[in-house]
Amino acid sequence: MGFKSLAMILGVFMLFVVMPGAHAEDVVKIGIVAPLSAPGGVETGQALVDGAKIAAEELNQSGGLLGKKVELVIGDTSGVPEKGTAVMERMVTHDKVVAVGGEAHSSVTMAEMEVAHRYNIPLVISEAWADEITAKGYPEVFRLTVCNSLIYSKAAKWIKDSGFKHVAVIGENSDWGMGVIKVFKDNLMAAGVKVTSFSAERTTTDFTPQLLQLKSASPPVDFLVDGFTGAGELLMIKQAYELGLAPTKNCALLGAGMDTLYPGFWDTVGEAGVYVLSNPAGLPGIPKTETSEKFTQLFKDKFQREPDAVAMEGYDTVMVIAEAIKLSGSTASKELIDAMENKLSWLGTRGTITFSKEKNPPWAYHLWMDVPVFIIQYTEFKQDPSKAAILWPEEYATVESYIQPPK
Amino acid sequence: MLMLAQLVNALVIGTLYALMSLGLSLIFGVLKLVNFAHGESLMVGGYLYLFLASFFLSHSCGLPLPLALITSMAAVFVFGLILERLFLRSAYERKTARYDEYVILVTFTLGIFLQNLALPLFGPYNRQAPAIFTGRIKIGDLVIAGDRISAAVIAFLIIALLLFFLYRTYLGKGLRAVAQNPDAASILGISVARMRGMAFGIGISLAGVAGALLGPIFLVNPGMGVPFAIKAFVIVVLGGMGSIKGTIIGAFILAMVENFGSILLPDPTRALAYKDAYGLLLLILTLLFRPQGLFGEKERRA
Amino acid sequence: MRRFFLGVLLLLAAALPFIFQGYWLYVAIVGLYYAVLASSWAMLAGQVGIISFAHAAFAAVGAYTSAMLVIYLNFPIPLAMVAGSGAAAVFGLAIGALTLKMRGPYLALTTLAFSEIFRIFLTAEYELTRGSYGLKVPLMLDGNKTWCYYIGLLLLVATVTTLSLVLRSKLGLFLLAMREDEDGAATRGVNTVYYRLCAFVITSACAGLAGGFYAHVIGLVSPRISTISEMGLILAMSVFGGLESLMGSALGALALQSLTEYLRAFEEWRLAIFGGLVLLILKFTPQGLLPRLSELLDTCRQRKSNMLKDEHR
Repeated sequence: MGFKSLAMILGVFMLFVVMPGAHAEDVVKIGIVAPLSAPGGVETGQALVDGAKIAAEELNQSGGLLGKKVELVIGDTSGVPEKGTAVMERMVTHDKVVAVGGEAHSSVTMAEMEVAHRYNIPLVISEAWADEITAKGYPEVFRLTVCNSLIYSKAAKWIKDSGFKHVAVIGENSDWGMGVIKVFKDNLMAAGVKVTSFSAERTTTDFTPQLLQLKSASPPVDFLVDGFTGAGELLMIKQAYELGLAPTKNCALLGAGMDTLYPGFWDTVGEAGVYVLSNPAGLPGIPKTETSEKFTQLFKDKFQREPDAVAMEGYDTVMVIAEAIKLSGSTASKELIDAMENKLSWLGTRGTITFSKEKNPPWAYHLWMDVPVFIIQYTEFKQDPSKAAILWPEEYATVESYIQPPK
Repeated sequence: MLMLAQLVNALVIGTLYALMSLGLSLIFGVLKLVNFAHGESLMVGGYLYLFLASFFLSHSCGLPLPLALITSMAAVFVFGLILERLFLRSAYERKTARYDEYVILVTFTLGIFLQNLALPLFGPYNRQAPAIFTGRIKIGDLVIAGDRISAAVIAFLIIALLLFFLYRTYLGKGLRAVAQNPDAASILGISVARMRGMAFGIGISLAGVAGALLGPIFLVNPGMGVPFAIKAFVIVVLGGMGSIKGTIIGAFILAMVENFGSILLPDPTRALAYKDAYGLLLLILTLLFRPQGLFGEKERRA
Repeated sequence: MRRFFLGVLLLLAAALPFIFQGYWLYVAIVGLYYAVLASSWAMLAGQVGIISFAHAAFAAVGAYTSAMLVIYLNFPIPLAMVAGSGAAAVFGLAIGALTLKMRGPYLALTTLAFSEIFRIFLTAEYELTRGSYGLKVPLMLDGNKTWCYYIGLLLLVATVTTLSLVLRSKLGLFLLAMREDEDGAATRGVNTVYYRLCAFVITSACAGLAGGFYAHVIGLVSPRISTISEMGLILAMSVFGGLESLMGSALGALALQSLTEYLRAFEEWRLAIFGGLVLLILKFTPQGLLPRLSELLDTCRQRKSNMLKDEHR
């Protein structure tokens, strides 16, 4: 105690004093929240930010918004809810963004929307699927991707129509995974399909005991839903294949998480990935729109790879916010929200985006109801998702029905 | 049939548990400290094997994958010697005040450091390490994944070698002598400092090779060691701190409890979710009813 | 002298909300949470010689208990926070009673296993805790940051004062005696297990209280606060500030917390950097960085006053 402590205190204090201040207000700032470090889904976050960057560049090349340059403020949430809260606080109170877009984890979104709601700042969600996000009915929150109930009720209907009798769901005990289990149960059990479900921690690595149990179940399981993300999703596919459970002649396998769509998929699961089903929310170039062609070209030029659904969502997110600013001629929250809710109808990379005002069912509120959803099936080793067979919806289907593995 | 398949899986996993826990047990026996960086040693071994094996495969230089396994084990051994020299030896020799707390802090921080160094260096991604043997083995209705059975066989061989080393060679006997009574051992001309370094190196190389074997089965990522380290802690307490026999038996007990617990518990939303937690139950039961562990020596408090 | 500086310190801290608003006040509030955790952990590790890895988990116990009491049973927030602190104390008592009677690193092992498994429990009990979603918690004082800051400051002052008083009491003297020579203290009839258990329970309660504060200030608790990385951060803060000084570790926590905000660009490297620094500190200056710095300052001052004296001669 004494001088030394005082010096220390002053040191700590100084850290606060010389903090970086906010810039002058000659730019329009749009916040982008995304998981860019562990334990978040980094691949997803990066794709989202890359897509958003293309949008910002395009806007600035055509003169910006309201005569001002567009600046993206990118915040890393690491897939951690508290960090989402902190990043949102910083964006709103320190960076003074006009609107925030992005995010790929439902749990983090749930935290972020509270901040957005408190400060009345528009939040456009790119890639978080939990029903609760829009079901909460916050006027500030919009979503231009699917939600669990929308996509899995369609998938469940497809499963039933394809004639599967016993569906097993192993889901992670996150909001998303529990949602997957619930939607399948709700939609299939009523239709007379037997559903068995397990849930486990997101970090679970060994599913062998459960898979063995399913293997000797009666009636035999003919459809396995892998409701995990990250390593868990891939390990379950690998283990199910090694044990001779699925995907086999007798049992199909749907990898519900996004990891079935990343390049790392084939490295991990190897030949186990052939015949795996997946459900992407958007495929590049389907449906073909003017925007999607332009975007695909710009993205390839800048990043030297094919864009995926998430990158398209990132681009659409920034563009939707920009469109709302253009429509209302203002950056005030109230006007932006009004513009998105009532006036917005913008042709994006995946179709024409409008937000529903319907509150029944609750999750439909501020959701883009016509968001494209697909069920695809890999037919070859190391196949790119865009080359896989499309089973559903019918208008885009490339094959008649589910392809049964020979073995 | 179902039970047999479950039993086989538990035995396979148990052998791998035994391998990594023996390292922890050996370190405790000789250095009288718990290596809180054991999980991260496992992770380092996992990454080393991943890089070496991928290199061998991609350059098709004809080097066999088991060589990658042995090389990564040796590298972790050297890493262990360095760590011991850097952080443990001087503290031991200078008889640092409050040595017990110091080693806990140092090994724990080392673990945090290694894990968070691997995170930005290698990224949070899960990597698939090439398995030595892929495919599956079928015995009647019983199907076992090739990567698992090969890992278990290799782990079994390493454990057998370790036991031979500890009980039949001069160096191994020296290690056990230091574990039993360092003062007497040093009077007999055994270099205690050298044995301590050796034990730490061997101990974490066992974790490293376990990581190399687990990598192809459960993927490699910076945090992969944490759940295994916790299991190893439970196993050594259950078996009796420093007891070789107890550690091996403890490993199989834990593997059985986890495997059968996760199918026999009737509640499907909890059975699998709590798989990693069954260990704590074992730990608490051990501490309540037999605190010295199954084969530990009863230590009286002064 | 000491009192004067303490006064200046408090005054500065009290003036902070008048200078900073918004996000930086938020950073300061989170810093206060860590300061309470770091100082109570430093008391345990530095003064008593118990290394517990469940401090972050106990904060989670406090946070979730308090949050759930408010949400499901409509407890008033202050009462719920006290109950959360009590719950952490009960867990501390149970783990301590199981392990403190044994020599060796049993407590460290068990607390580490406990914190990992408590995290699993929090994610698995989805209906109760909302799993990895995190539980949305009612804010205290309607989320007014200035008032929250003062509550946090009060909490920190109260923690440091209480723990200092404990250290100066009979209990503290016994603890010191045991730390220096456990067998000696035991042969003189000190019930070492009992006193250690007391210290463990008291500091666990502090962690629980901090957790409750955190929950009602952030408005969200998730299983993340019970992770081993969080524990590593608390450890780093305590070691930075000097394990043997309560004030030092509190300041260490505030310093690292603001440093983290600064080094946002190095976010990913943060724990690697902190971990590396702690290893160096442990190896070269086991008493922590801040005391070492202050020693340097002391010698400077000493030299200066010596010089002054020389001039007078």
